[in-house]
Amino acid sequence: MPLLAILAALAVGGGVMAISGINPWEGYVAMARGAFGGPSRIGVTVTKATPLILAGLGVALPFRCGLLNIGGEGQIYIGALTATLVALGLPGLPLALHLPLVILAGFVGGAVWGGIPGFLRARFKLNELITTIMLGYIAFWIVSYLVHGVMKDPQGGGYPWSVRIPDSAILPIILRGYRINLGFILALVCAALAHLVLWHTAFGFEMRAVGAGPLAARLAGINPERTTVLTFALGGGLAGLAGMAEVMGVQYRLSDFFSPGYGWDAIVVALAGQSSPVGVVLVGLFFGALRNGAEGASRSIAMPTSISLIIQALTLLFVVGSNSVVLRRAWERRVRRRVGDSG
Amino acid sequence: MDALLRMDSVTKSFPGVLANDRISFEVAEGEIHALLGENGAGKTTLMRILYGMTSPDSGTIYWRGKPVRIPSSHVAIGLGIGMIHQHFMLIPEFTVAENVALGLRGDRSPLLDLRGTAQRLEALSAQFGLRVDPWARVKDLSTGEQQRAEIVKALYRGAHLLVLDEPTAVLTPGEADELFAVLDSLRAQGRAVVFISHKLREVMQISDRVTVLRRGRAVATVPTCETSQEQLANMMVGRPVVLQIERSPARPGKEVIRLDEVAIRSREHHRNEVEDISLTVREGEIVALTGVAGNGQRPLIEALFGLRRVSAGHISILGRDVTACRPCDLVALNVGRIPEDRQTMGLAMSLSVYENLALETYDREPTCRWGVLRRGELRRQAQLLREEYDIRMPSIDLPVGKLSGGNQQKVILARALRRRPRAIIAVDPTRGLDVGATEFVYRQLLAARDQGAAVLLISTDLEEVLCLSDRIGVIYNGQIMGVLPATEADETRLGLMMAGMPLANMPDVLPPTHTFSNCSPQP
Repeated sequence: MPLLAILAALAVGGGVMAISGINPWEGYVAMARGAFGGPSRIGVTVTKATPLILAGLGVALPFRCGLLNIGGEGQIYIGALTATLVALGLPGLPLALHLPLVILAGFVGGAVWGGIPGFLRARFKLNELITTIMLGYIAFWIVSYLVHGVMKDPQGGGYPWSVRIPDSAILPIILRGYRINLGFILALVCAALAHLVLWHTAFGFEMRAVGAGPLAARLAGINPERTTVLTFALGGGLAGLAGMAEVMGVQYRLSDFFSPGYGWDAIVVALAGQSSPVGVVLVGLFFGALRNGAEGASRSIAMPTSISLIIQALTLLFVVGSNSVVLRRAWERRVRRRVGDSG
Repeated sequence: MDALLRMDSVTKSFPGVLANDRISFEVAEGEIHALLGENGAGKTTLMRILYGMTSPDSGTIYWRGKPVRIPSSHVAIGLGIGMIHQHFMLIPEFTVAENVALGLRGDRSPLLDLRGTAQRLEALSAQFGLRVDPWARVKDLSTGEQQRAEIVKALYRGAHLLVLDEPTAVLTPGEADELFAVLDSLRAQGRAVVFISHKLREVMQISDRVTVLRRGRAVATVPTCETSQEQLANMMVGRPVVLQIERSPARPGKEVIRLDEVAIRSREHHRNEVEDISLTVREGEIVALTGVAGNGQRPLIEALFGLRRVSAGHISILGRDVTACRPCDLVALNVGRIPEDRQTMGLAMSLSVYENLALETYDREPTCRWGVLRRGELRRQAQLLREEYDIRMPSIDLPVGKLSGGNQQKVILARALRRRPRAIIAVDPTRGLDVGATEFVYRQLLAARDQGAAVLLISTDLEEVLCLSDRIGVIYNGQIMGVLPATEADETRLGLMMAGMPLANMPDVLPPTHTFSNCSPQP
């Protein structure tokens, strides 16, 4: 079903291109070339997908537990901040020790920031929609305050960003020709772990049980409050890793504009990926390719990059539509009628 | 006399199921016609066709002798057909009058004439003895009142034929009696009623004729006065049903469940919802706590299940003080619990059947080691339970929400009883189940009792209580009116207690009534 939704989105996207005076065939060829035409293009696609996959997992897991984490953006910023603090605060360590600490710091920062709405929901029944959004703004402004103030690079030419992180904290490039850094591998490992947790551990079972029937789960002896807090912390931690990966793998500095809304796109990725870790990886890669392809096409045939955002939005729309019971029933009726006609 | 409504060999198939197979069915004016059948027999499909919610594959509907097509509910309403669904179609925030006026054009259209609506509502209320306040907000009404609002809404739209889909499933016995009085007056004034039910007793009590459906076919239509509960039950399931469950005398042993002067304070109002409840259940016996719904059962159940704190008193189970227990402690203590509400308390509807079966035991060896689940083992155990408890489904991987109510209850039963608990708390364990499934639940509970379990049965179904229990307590207004041995229980005594008379105050000699313990059918 999601595959059909993506095809439908591409078809309508082609229509949009035609309206804006671009031959859809040429447009898509240019986009494909931009996304996959050569090792470096593939590398950029994958690098763009990395934070989407990590933050997407950070939405997908809580969603399985009946929680909507729409504050991924804030968890990304805090994860990036704590990782940067460890990166800058412990210079001189060997990479084998420093980098794991930095990664861990990113996870812990995000987990704390995600754990707060989890705790507020579990303890005071506060709606996580509101608390995650509000904490998102707080996180952004904390980072903004710091990079304009104490963390500002004196030699940064006035830009609001931090000092460059030491080499021992940089996610190393692992495929030199493709410029793919360790962050992408980390995202794949996280997706695999998320899949295992969700389907093969007692904790994952508790998560899904609380999501599917909180009262039934409670009566069966599961503690929904504990599960809520832990799930939210896990989701926040994954989003925190997204922020860490973007700073340590791509930008090498913390700024207050390093995320172009990955936390928001993560919601789309998680929903379009049907909240399954495998789906999140696939949709994350697709969206990464879409953006990279659109940038390529804008250079080669001057196609507006907003086309990629339109296709992204259409994908979500079609996925939501394909999940609609009403539309699905109507479709089945049509199919049945057609079968009936032929027989 | 020509029938008001005649449905002639109506057939409807869904992929894989023949829901209605050439069903013919008629209702006369001034008649209450019961449509009886097990869950999935095709009652609801037939009525959905009548109400224009699905179209039949073949067959004709005659209304007042003329063939009609009913492509939508709108047309059905226009003809004079009203439908009272199980789940009410009312807007909780609106008043009764607003709900009734919804979707209608008044005389002063486009202005709203609620006052006129309310006046006509009151006239209808008086005409049919339907007490309902037009200005009350629906959310403040009891379930019985909401149902009356639905009926009044249908009558307001000119319904001549009312279809009630399992109307008593949501009602307390008292509310059901009020509903029957309303149906009586509708019949007396020439309206027709289709009464969908699978409760034999009610069908015998209220209907003039009964049509029995079984697996999509109309088995028979008989005048109610010429049939009996046994005969109807046989027709429904197609085999003789042992409504009279044979049971050995109880051999009670040690005390297992003990409530000591339990009181529970209401959170909103500063009064006790439950007061001074003391009750014991010994091993090898079933003790029932019955009463009209809303007399303190819910807070008591919540306290027993560890969902709510008591404000005074103690509860102990199997010698352990469980007064301040959480649900997980009860799971550890192996207390079998069958909650009343399958869909929210009993099951996680979107999880698979085998996961629901494992909900209390997943985190133990051998299904779980070091926090890692062994799905093969979970599924193997589920297959065994599926055979033992005769849970019918295509696959244990199916979401439990896709199962019929009876099979869902079997899943709950299997989970509650799989570890052979010594203490069982069952709340309305057969609500909404058909005869076959009900019998199955009864047998399982009795078998558990015979193996020495202590069973506390909290139920509003008097028939069930009389059929299963060894001792019967009645709760009224949060207090226990008395506890009787089942052999001394009769409807008069229980009825008086349910209405608030303590057993101690009761005269020794009561007017003679039929003792009908062990479920003998009503004469």
